[in-house]
Amino acid sequence: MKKFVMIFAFVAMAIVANAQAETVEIKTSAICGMCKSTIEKALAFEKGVEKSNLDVKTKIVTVQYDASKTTPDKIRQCIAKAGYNADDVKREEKAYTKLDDCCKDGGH
Amino acid sequence: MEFKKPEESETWYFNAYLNSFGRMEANVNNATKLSDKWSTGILVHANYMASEIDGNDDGFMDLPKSRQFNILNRYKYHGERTVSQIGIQYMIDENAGGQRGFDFGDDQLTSPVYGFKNNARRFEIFGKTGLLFPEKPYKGWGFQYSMAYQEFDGGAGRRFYGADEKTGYFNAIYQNIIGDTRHQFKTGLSYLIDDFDETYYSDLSGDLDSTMNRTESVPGVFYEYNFIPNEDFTLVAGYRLDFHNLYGLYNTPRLHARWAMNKHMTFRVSAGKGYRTANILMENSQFFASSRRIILSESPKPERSWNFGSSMASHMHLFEKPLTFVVDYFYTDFINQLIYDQDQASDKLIIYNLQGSSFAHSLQVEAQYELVKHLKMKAAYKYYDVRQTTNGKLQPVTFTPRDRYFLNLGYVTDYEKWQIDFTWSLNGPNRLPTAPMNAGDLQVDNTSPWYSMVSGQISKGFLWGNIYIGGENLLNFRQPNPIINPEDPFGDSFDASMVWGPVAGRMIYTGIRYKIK
Repeated sequence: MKKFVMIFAFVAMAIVANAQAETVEIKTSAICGMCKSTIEKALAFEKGVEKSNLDVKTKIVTVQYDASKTTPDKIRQCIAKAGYNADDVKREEKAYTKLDDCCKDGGH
Repeated sequence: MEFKKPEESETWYFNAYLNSFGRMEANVNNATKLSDKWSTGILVHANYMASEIDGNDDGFMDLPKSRQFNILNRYKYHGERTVSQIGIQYMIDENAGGQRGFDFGDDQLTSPVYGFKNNARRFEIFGKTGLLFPEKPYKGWGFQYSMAYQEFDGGAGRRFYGADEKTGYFNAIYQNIIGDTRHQFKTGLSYLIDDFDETYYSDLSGDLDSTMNRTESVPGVFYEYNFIPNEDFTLVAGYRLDFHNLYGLYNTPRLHARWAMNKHMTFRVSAGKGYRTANILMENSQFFASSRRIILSESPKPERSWNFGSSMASHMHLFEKPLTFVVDYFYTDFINQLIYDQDQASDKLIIYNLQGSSFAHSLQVEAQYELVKHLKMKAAYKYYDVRQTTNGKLQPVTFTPRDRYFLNLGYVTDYEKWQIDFTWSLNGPNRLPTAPMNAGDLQVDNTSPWYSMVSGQISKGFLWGNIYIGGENLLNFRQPNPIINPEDPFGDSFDASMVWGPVAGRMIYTGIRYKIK
């Protein structure tokens, strides 16, 4: 029984509503569906990010975040660290070289 | 002309694990892309446990000490017309169990404490090559081969068992169509050579004492026809003929059919024949840890059986959530089987070929449903009606539960940031060997009780991997008195081969997985 209680405590924790949700749109250098999942995954593990959705056509990622925990600039840094340009923040070259061929310049 | 510079890319994967019994495990994998067409992978595994766990205080380790090292290196080539793979694997595995104090490298035959030893080494080279026809994707040649050498050294108490085996295998397959892709076939030939040397002896009077050598040489041919009139239906009819140097001609027909009635329901049926040569002693080393005399009352014949199977899988939506429901039914009817008879006498294990009937019905029902977002439930029931003619009577096979229930709850958040898993299983009674013991107080029950096993795991994910912690046998269930007469292991009524449930208790573990790209 104790274990059940523990499991549902975790579930409840995860569903707790966010406090100060704000939204920012960032233009990236993403080119394919794989880029989309790489960026969304990187953002999912970034502190303060609630939700993100990248539109491959426009290359714009819409990020919902908690303003008390992060800033749009930190979010851009996170995208750059994953190997992609984010607005005026240049991508990290080391991360870029490790991307799959289809995610690199001219890959599509 | 410009050559494309080979794009090197490397991925590393590490895993480390530790549990409350003192067992450590490590895995290191490396995948490297050498060029456009070549890649290589290395997998290394090691585990080590040297602690002496004796939760029930009977003087015997609940699980043997163990150490293993395993390495595999594989090269892959992926060209336009050729795909090829070659690999080598080396494994060394040592286990030392029995009474506390028995250690790796000790000799059970002379040890003052009762020892159980199981040491194995194996070396293998394997590979396959496929020749493709890019303009005719249904056509192709395939070649597969492997060569292995393994040696084994072990036994329990004053029993010794040693073996070495050299195996070579090769097959060639050609596939094409007859007219159009609705009619496809595969045909080819195979060759197996297996050289097996075994030595077994003990100081028990009346016990088996022998060296057994055999070389199996089995060339074979096969043909398989696939009828695929549309996406919803497949019929596979196959036939193979093997020419066994020791046991003569084997013919093995096989039939499979799949029918997707609609997008929610799929049915499968299969029927076929099977055969195998059992390695009597190597596959049944659990019997070494007893005072039972091993008696091979006739020369063993290969095991042969007819198998029938059917399954139904349905995928539906219930309250807009996916519900999967699977029912499997299998039936095996043995023409010949080796019987390991512990029923005739409590001090003997008598091995002979089946006389009478032997069959297995197995029914499995499984349902999976997403209860709420991220939370999936899986429930299953397994029914095994497995009966053999043992000691002149058709009766349930020992140590095989008829009923088993299983329930799993899995909670996974997006990107596996959190994973929580909980599993409960309920195991029904097993038939235990009828042991007409002389000493009344050593008489064991003829059936084991119901028992539950609970396990759980929590994993926290990161971009680089995850950290996990979990536990098995959380209810700390242990078979009471798993060993009969543990005080006198070299005596006449010692028996550690009557285990139907967990011997070790609750176990907690933790580990980490790390990936670098």
